Amino acid sequence: MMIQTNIVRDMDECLDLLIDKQQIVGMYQGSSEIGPRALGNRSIIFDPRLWNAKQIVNDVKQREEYRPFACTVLKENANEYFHMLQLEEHGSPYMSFAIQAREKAYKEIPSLVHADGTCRIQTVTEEQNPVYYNLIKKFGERTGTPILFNTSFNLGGEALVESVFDAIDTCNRSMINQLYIPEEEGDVYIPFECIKFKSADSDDYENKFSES
Amino acid sequence: MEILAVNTSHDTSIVTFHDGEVTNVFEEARHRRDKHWTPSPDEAELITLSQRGLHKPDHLIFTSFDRRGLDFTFSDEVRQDRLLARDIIGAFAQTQLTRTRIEEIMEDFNVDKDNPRISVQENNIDADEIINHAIASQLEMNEYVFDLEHHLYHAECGYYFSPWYDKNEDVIAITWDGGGAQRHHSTHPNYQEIESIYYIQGKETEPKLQWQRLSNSRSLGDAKGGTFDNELESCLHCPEDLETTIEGVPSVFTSQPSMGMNFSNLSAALGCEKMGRAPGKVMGMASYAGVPIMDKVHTRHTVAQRCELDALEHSCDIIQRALDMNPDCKRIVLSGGYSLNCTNNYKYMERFPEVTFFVDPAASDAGTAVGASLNLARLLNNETGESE
Repeated sequence: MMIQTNIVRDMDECLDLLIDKQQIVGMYQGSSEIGPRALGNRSIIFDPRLWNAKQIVNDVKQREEYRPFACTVLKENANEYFHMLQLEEHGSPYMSFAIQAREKAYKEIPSLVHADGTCRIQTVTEEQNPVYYNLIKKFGERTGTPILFNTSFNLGGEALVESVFDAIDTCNRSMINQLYIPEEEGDVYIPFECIKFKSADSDDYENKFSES
Repeated sequence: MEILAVNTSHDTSIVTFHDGEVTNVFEEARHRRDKHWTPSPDEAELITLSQRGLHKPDHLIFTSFDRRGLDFTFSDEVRQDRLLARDIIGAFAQTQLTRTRIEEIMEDFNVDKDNPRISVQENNIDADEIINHAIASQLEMNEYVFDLEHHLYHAECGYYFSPWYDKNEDVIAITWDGGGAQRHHSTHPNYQEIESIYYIQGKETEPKLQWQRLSNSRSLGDAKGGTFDNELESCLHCPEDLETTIEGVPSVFTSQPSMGMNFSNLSAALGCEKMGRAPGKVMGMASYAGVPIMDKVHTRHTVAQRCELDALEHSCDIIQRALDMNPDCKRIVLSGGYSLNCTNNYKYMERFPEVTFFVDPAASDAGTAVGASLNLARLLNNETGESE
């Protein structure tokens, strides 16, 4: 079967893909983040509740199996899931701390809790990143877990994507089939030739992990 | 006032500073699609400048990790005479190196001036200037600032992004890095700054350097094995640290690699990544030490955990030192590449519950361009009163 990268503009449609179809989604909006962490503008997002979410994304990103993943949580919910210690006031907006998980995190997002019981988290507020905040908030309203699996929008060993062309190119070369560019971004120019067909047969993660 | 700041070390970045604000940060690696890209004298033009349409600014500043170095060469006589070589190694290992000490050693051993047993050569002395000049030409600039303040710029960047900058509150800034600039190369050759403690009183005040550790470990090469040549090369290694004062600042000269370099070397040695610049992977491995499911690579994980624990103790010592120097300040900004160690960042909070920590989001060298632009703006304001 041959497929194209699907570009999604509507937030509810993006949530349907994440929750109902359990798809990996590339998220592209606004300016890129400075530094090594993806903070919701150049991110790959996924449903963190899946028990094998880490295995799936490690495979898609071609990363080593022992490497942990990060997540983004609404700042107001962070202390329910993680021992925030002195970070309660300012949060962890730049994903700089691997924070000890609480029981609730072990239960709801098991694959994101690393072998040492920590998770490298980003807290987000509406002021910091309104679209990303509202996406996670709505995800929380529908699932009961106000957290998204968040990893940098790149493949193993590559630089983070910068332009929308880089984003689509990364999708074209991987099993990431969905690209969310929020409608708040306005019109986005994407040349037709940028969208390529790719094979989606036995390598597709939906098939690959369906029996897991 | 418009300032363009360019970091020419790895994670090359360009910062635009306008009317007192950092307005944009661009990372060359992302535009090139080449992670950690670094310019060299052969390839120094930045595609970001043209892609982003960046024009000639009022002021241009460069920052770098410093490419200079002092190379030692040993004659065949030394290589063939083990006893002589042992004497030379002993002389080098007696104390941490200074230019004066090198001259003494050369004097003692180079009896025949026409056939020196040891020769020393400045290496890469112009590399930074060639790169800076090429980039300045792209911007049609004839003048620019180039200052070897790698750690200071890390600290400034961390403070800028912290919640305390806008409130103009004082902080302790700790920069710990793989390496930095060789700020004292003229007297203590080959030593790069690896750990620095600054006190920053507020955004209008120049950060005050309070303590620094400098390492010459770059001379040791990357664990090349136990050949005789490498043994000679490692004669720069002195087991004892030298504690002294440089320009009024307590300073420690060491032959130990920095925590960041330890992690990078370990990362390469454990087969995590051939380039080695992946301490995050080492931390990921360390977490699995003793976990039965990972038995097949148990040794790697245990070694990684040992490294992590050693680094934790070392870094807690530095934090304690910083707090002792500034007992009234409980706000600490961490910057430099080693701050990307998220696992230990959390453990500092457990060890020092009275302290609030902030970690620079641009702790890699990309952030140094942010710090350089802020530093230059302050300097211009103070010296000339140039309006922002």
